[in-house]
Amino acid sequence: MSIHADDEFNLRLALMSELDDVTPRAGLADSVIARYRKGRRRRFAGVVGLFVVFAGIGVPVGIASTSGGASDGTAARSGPVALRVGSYTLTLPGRYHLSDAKAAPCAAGAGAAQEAAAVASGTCILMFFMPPGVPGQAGQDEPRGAREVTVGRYRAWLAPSGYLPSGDGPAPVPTALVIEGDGQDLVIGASGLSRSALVSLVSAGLAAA
Amino acid sequence: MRRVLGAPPSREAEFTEFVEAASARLLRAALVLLDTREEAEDALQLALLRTYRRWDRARQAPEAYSRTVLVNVCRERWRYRARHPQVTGVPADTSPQSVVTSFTEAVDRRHVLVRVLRRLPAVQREVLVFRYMLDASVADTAAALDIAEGTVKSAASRGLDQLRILLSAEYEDKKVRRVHPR
Repeated sequence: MSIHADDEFNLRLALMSELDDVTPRAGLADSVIARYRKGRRRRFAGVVGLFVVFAGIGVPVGIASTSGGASDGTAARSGPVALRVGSYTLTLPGRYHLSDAKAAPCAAGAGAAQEAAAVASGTCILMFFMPPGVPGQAGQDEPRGAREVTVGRYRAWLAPSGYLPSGDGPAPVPTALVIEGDGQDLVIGASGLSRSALVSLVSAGLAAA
Repeated sequence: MRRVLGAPPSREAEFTEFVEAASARLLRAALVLLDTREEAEDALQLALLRTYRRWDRARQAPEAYSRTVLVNVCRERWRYRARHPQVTGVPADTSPQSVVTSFTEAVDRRHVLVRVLRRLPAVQREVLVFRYMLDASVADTAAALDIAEGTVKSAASRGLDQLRILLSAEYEDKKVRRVHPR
């Protein structure tokens, strides 16, 4: 081929004639659009996959961090926790979460109609009214070895270790504080807490409506 | 015509119309900028795909947009080849004397002007392609290649001079081979 690019016009003409047979294959636009759609589907799938992965990691981590390491799987709330029995409310720190009173680790099996429990890592608090009609126990004289204490504006006594809140074969409460009421006494039992820690906790958080 | 999910119906039609009008010109440009027809077709498809992805922006001047994308795709391939010579292999010897190994290659070799253009330095080749194949103005060429307008003019002038020399040599070589066939 003897093309001499003497000027721009000649070069244009020469390129045009030489590459005249070079044409794109049919359906190029369609194949580009199809490739675009495929890529979009792939990107969408990638985003959804990432979301699933992050949700799979993040949700359990989030639950674990808010539950304070509780092992019973009960969901925890942030902020203080209110334990209520009758007109009494015991406000506990946020690391506690409410639990089933019958299934709580410190359940005493007292058979009380009204009882509530809260647990935290290694600690359990149970609150219930002393079942009535047990001679020598509820509403009666202090048990032997009990120590009288003042908890806030309430008169109470710390039960001796192995104290049985009722007579019909319940489990003993490791640490128990009995608050004297007008009609019935309130028992606040705890496991994993010392007596002084229980008294401090109740002094700071117990209120009656 | 099928409708692209979430896109207005005119988007696909506009793009198809643009591809039908401009793809031949763009493919020829890619053929000069790259080594083989296959590479040129791949590059063109990728350039069109990138143009379609940004069609809302590109639709104002789709040809200018797509030729800028095309030259960027070609530059990516040059860089890839430079980094991975063991993968891409050394470009085949395309001189007329070397052995032709395939029909495609034989057709490719028929394009003497293209072959000579490929021997020019990259900037000169890009400028000649933009100015004389894609009919871009000096200003458009400068903007697309990200060089000064003065560089476009000087590269075009030097490229034409170089092309003239190479084509003359090619012509002389053919004359010699015609007189003394191997």
